[in-house]
Amino acid sequence: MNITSKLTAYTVFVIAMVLSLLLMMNYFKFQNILSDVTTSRLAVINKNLEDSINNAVNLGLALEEIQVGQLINRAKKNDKEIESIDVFDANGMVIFSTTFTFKDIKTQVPPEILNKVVKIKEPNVSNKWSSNNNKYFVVGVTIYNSFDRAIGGIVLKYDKTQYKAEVASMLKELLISTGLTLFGAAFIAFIGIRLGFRGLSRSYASMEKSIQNIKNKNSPTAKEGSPFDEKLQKITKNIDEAINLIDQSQTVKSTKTK
Amino acid sequence: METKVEKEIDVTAAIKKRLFLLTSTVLVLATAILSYHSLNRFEYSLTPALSKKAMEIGQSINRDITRAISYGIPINKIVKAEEYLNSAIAPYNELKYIAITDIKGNILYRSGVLLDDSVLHFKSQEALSSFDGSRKSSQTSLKDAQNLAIKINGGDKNLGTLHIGVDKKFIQRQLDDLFYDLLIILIVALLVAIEITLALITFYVTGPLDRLNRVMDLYTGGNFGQYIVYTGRDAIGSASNYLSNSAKQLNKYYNSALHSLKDLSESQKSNLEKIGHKFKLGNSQKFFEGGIVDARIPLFIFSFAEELQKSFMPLFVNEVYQPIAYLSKEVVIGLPIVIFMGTIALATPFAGGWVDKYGSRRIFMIGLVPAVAGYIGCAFASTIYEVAIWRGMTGFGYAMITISCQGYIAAIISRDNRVKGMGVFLAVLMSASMCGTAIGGILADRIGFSLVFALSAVFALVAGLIALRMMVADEKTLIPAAKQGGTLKKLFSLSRNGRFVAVVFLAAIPAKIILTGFLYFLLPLYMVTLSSSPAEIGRVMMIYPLIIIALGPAATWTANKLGNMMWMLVVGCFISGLGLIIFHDLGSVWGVVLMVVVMGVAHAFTKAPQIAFVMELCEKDMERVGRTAVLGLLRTMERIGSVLGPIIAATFVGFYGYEDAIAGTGLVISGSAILFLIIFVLTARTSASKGRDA
Repeated sequence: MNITSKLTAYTVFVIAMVLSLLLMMNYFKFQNILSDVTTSRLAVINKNLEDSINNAVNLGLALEEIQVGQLINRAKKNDKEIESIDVFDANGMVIFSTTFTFKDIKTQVPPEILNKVVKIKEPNVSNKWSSNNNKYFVVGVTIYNSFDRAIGGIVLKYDKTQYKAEVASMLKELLISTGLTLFGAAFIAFIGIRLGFRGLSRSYASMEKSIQNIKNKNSPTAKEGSPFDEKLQKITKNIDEAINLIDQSQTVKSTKTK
Repeated sequence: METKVEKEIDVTAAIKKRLFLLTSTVLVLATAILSYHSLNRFEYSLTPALSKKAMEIGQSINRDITRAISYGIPINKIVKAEEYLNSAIAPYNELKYIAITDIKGNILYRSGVLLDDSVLHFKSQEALSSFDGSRKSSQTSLKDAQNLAIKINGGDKNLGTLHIGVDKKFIQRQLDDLFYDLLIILIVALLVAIEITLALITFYVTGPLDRLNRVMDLYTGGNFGQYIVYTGRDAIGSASNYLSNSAKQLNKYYNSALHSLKDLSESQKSNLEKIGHKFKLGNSQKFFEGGIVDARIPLFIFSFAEELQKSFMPLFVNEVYQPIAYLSKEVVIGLPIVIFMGTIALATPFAGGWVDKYGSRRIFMIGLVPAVAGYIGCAFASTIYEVAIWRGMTGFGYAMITISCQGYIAAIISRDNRVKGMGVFLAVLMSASMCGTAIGGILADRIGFSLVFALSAVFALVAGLIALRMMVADEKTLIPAAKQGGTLKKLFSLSRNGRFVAVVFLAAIPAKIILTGFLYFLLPLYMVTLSSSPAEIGRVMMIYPLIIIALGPAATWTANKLGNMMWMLVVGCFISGLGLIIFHDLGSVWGVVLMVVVMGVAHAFTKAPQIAFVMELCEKDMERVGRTAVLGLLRTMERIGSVLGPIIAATFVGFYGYEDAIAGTGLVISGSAILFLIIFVLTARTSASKGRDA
């Protein structure tokens, strides 16, 4: 590999590494922003439900007595990506759900969700929480009565399929644009190295030629006057001198032996 | 060797400069294009998501208005409607306005900031006809907002429109944050590129070329005692192989002549030996020279691996937190960090002695064992005790590895180039710190804490492999046996060097106190009180290493020009504290930025000269106790400063609050600089006469 190809390869390698890093970070950043925007939108849906429930609770109704079913079903209908909305009491028993009728099945919300419910409202502590797994965004809110005691909560599960599709589409676009940018950058680097390192390339070539000349028993003057050739001539001269001196010693030996 | 090292530090080789310029230009261009495209694409993707959210809010308001209308209240006579809209808009800072208009577009109720452009739009034909047919909502892009219009119905009759404006600047603000993040990524990427480009070019192009030149210089001077080994198949390879073969053959020829002359007289033998002596023939050796880049890359990769945890360590510790009797939660969470720092402080002087005794590369390799074990242990740790123990292990390895690299650079560098060499050492640590912290946080967010620890172990092993290949044989960095042993005793003997003690206590320790006390402890807490986000805090904190890296060459140049490092230390130390005193009560983020900038600039001009100054002050001591041991002691004392920093700052905060605590910390630092100056002025004459005696 000649010197310019070598330099081009190193430069393209470095650019490729940096652009890959940029691609990775852009991708993660987009994932985060989209995830934040989605969960904050789901929090709005939860807040609407919470407000409606709070209005009824403030009128003195118990959570079980409020007709929440219609509210949560309407919210689910508005967004087909909503997997389920559950309303549970302070013990974690689901009392309203978009997936079943509470009279038929008694279900408890998972402990990890119940653990997020703060029993007594604390100042400056939000009653909203969110988490997510591979399949769903889970957004919740704790409902308090007028004595600031938790009386239950709402859990909204949101299917990530659409979100994943958007993220995948972004990744595809980023990959294409990164590939094109890398191609362009590699081309500029190639041209830059060809033009900017012509001198170096020529001296490498002349160096190679000089060595070749010496190997072919020619005098090392491929390009007379170049520092490399001057040094090479001096080295050859030194080697010859050393050999001559050693030979002279041997001649002395032969003469003496005779 | 000095000539070579000098060349390398100055990066005089035109190849490096030109290639670096080209790579940087192409990189900045490519990154700018890619970032611009990404920002546009993000805006395109996020706008619908934000509009969807506005729609949810709008539908909720619409339901309430429709309910009021269904009770028979006319749309233009809803009591306290604006109060209601005010409460509806309050939680959402992305909403610019909410307005309710009648069917002609006249505003009935409004909340938020409405520009004329929006008011005119409500009455426009475009807005009034937007609900033709069965459409219930429409969106229009206005000058300052994305307007979402929702039809308000009373039975089958259209009674008016609810307008919600999503602030266009909100999307822009989100993207601004993204822009700053991308800027940081670009800086990190450039730093990584610098390291990799330097390594590749030095190792594969300029290094071999330089060695070829050096050997040719030896041969032209008639010295054929060394040969180079280069396996590359390029012009350098051809030249190196040809010259090396010639030298080897000449040596062989000489040796055979020498052996065949065994039966000759002493004078004849001596004649041949003279020839051997003149051309350095008889015992040819491999030509080998160490360079800073040998230690630079392994150190960068290892420090990068270590810094990956910096951004999330307290969060990770918080996850495995369990109460410990008599200790508050904050203290327990800080425990692994304290143990890590403490282990480094304790191990560094010993590790310094080991480097002198066994060589840099060997200690680097041995240090990898506890370091990697620590990372793997942390990846599987489930209790606070386990985390503390494994971090201690990593701290032990970290101490060995960093001091081995520092010792390596100190060993191969000439006296005149100490500032430059130590500048390179610090720049590598700073670059790795910036890159590791930025990337570690992002990685932890995606792959989890445990996998980041595992990744650190992998990076540390990669650093080891590179060190094995790049760092010169240990013999080159050894200190004679006579100067080894009794590490503690010899280090205590340094306390007799009053000027060294003054530098340590009045410059090195204060520099660390202000760094950890202000930058790592006070700054994040103070910025939270200024309503800054964690991302903002991180960005302000990154200004410091950025300045250190950017001003590194200027600091080196100044130190060489001035030639008086004592004054640089005094002025730098004084100014770093002064910045805190002057700007402590500005009460804004820009005030904090100014303090960080002043501190960064001051430290940029003192960090490398400080190490070089210590080496200058301890010239004789180093002969006695070893060069690396002295540097090890300096690093240990600095670590003590790191531990003291948060304690002093926290004490000040407890008594005086954040702003005065910042000023107090500044006073301590500037005060120590003044004391430092007084001591050096008073001892100048004694020191000069000692120098003359010596």
